[in-house]
Amino acid sequence: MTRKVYVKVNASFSPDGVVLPRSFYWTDGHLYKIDSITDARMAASKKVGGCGMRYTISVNGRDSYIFREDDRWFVEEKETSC
Amino acid sequence: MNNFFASVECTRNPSIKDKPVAVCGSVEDRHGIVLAKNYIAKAYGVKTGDTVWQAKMKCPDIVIADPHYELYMKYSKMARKIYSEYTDKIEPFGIDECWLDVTSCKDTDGDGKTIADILRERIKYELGLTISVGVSFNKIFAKLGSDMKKPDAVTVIPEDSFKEKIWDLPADSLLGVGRRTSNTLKFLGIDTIGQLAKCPDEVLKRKMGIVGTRLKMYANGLDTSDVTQSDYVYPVKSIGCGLTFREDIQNNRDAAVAISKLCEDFGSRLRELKKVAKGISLFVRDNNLNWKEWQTSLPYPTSVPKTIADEATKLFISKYKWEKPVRTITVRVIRLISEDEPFQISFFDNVQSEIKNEKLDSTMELLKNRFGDRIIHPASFMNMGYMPDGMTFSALPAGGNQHV
Repeated sequence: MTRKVYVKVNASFSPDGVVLPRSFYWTDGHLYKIDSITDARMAASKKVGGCGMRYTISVNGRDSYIFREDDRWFVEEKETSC
Repeated sequence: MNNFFASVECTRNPSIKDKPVAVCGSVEDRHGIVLAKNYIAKAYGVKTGDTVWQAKMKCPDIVIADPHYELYMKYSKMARKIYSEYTDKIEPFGIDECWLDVTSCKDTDGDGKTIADILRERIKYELGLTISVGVSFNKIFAKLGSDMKKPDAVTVIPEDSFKEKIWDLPADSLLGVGRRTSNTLKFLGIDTIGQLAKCPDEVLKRKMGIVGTRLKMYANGLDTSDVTQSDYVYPVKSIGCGLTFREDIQNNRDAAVAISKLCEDFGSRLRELKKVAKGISLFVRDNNLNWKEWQTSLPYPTSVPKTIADEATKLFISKYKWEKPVRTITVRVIRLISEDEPFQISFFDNVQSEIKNEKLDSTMELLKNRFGDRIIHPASFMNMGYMPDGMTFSALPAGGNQHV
């Protein structure tokens, strides 16, 4: 089961209009730094729904997606059952 | 785009994508019919236009989703943005269909089939929706092709072999052949597109007028209409406002007030377009869903809502026979001309009253623009129980202690 989680993001805005996420706050308030962005393209999220600019990011050595949908950012959270 | 409204709901909420889904209007506002359904619901026999309870009878587990028109507009715009990367000739046909002229893209992006496949893949990847594309040498056959294979498919109808490909299809699969036209064609013994294509002109013309010969041209692949430029602005030919009432209307008095309410915004909308109307059209549907439409000329071209409403009410009272209560009324102003166009007034027209009403309407518009839509309204609009929420007033606007 995967959940759509909207997150607070720190982003950079270049003079030519390119927006790149730099770090984001998880729901528990922890700040995660984005180490690198390897891809950015328009895409739909098949797991949680919605579409927008999808950034492939690396955080603590793990690849993940973060989406910019209109003016909001979301990630696909994988729910693990205990 | 396939099952557009339902597909958007499924892509927005993937947990329902493997269930039967129908997008339905509000039951409370008496719009409780199926607006769109996905293929799973379709397999249960759910049809567009079914009432919610009919859909639930056919498919008890169906997921009923509320419509989100802003979201559909957003997806529609995003799709058109993708199309615009290939051509500037994009002609919308409703919210979820477009004609694209890609003739000039052959050297850069490939032929029609190649571009269709690229678009199909991109829409699926970027928006999470599927499309069906028809590729052909004219708009009529492109539309026909898009309906031939669904979902997520491309159908090519080539110029040199279209007869083999489509002439055996039923005549009503052609754009422009609705239920009534299809019945007329059947009466003439025409069941297929091929039979329509070969039918003598005089037979079609006698029975169907110019429409018949035009359909024959379509069947023979002779539609020559161009795909309009994306930035083409269609001239406004009419403005309308209609409503299905919360409760059926039972008498002329309530109908007159409802008509006044429907005509309320015509003044500002016509002034914005710098137009005046020469006529009105009135559509009335009773609670048995039977409908009638009438038209009449206005005594003189006008943009004054009161004059328009008075004439529409006169038309209603003279034509509606009250065999059934009224469920829906739509008023349209038609035959619009420029407000600068001179016209002859009659000796007997009350010009002073018209000028007064025009000033009153402009002043009310000014107040609404400054203080909101509910700041002023005719007293007759109070306590209209048959109007949906937000369209009636239960108390007078607040008094002088408000500061804006």
